[in-house]
Amino acid sequence: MHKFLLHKDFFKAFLCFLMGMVAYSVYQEWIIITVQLSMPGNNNKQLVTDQKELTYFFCKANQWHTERSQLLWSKDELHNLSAVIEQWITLGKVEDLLDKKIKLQTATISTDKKTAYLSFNQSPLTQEQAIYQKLRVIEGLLKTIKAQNFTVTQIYFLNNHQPLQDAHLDFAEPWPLDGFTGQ
Amino acid sequence: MSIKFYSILVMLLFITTTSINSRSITLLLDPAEKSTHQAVGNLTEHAITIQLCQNLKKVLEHHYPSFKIIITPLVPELSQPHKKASFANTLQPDLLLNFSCFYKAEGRPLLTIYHYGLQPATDSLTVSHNYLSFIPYQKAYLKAFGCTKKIAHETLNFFNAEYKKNFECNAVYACPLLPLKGIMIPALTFEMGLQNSNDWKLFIEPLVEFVKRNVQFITDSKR
Repeated sequence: MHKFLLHKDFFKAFLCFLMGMVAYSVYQEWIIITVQLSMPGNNNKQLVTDQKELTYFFCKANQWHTERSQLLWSKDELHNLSAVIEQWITLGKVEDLLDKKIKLQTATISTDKKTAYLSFNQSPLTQEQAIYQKLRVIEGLLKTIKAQNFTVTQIYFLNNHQPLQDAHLDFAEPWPLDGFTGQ
Repeated sequence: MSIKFYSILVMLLFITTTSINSRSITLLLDPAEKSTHQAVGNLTEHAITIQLCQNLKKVLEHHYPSFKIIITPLVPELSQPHKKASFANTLQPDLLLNFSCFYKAEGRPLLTIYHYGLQPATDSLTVSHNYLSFIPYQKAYLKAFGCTKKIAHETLNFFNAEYKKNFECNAVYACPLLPLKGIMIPALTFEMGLQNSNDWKLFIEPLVEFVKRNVQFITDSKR
């Protein structure tokens, strides 16, 4: 009997230890738990698509350029936002404005649909660029997003889901879609 | 009793007025720390930035012996932006000038002026803070925003009018700049694009003129 109780307590303690380990791992972000809620109709939203001609902006040799291209436009704003940014990145790579390895990891929009969070696998800016050149790279993306009439008004730029680190520009705060150069 | 009271009051008023008038002007020159080590001629961008600050200090001290000119110490303790901001806010200079030089492959030397700004639409509308207000770190720039913006735009116009032969003046940008984050005093960043290692000399005279034109305005606006 005594042995049995001891065994039961030991089992409880072990269970608590395991739960503690899991909780600590989640806290330390060693384990990331994501819940994918599939709402009925979500998939249908993405299927309803239109073809839309979009304008992309980029600054090259101190001159603003525009490029027009077709994109499948769904009713899901997040899907459209991701597609627009990926297309802009592709354009940047073709024009030698962005590093070949840069990718958009995740794009999310806040519940009030005013703030977007864009996470890249690396910074779209290089160390050698002057501040005004960096500003123009970011402004190109902001102008492109603004031109598509999204509900988003400000954007957080992230690198691997952490605020983007740069020697000159501060990305800890969201960037307004109107940008800072007034161009 | 009343004569004594009034004489003390007059004396205190006199001391306060003279102390304000004779208050020496302090300038903080801040060479950008995190510039890359790309070469401009035979020097690195960082070395040129320090050279520019040291020479500007010498020239300013020669022209204005009563001014206190301080160069931000290049020590690891001040390498973090918030520590530099804390240093500047404690020192309370009249003006902080941050300098950053970069290599420009072609064309004339280029100057771009920056000051801190976070919300272009609302930054100018912010109410003034009093001495006892608590100001969040990310909103510290608002305390001197109006003054800083005015100086930046006037400087751009002045440089465009007087020194177009020396260098090209790009624009004034108010954006979230890390080296100016958290600073409560008027603070500007001058970014200079240089092709040769001696091009920084072209900026010394204009910068001395800039100080001459603006320091009195800043001191007056602080009172």
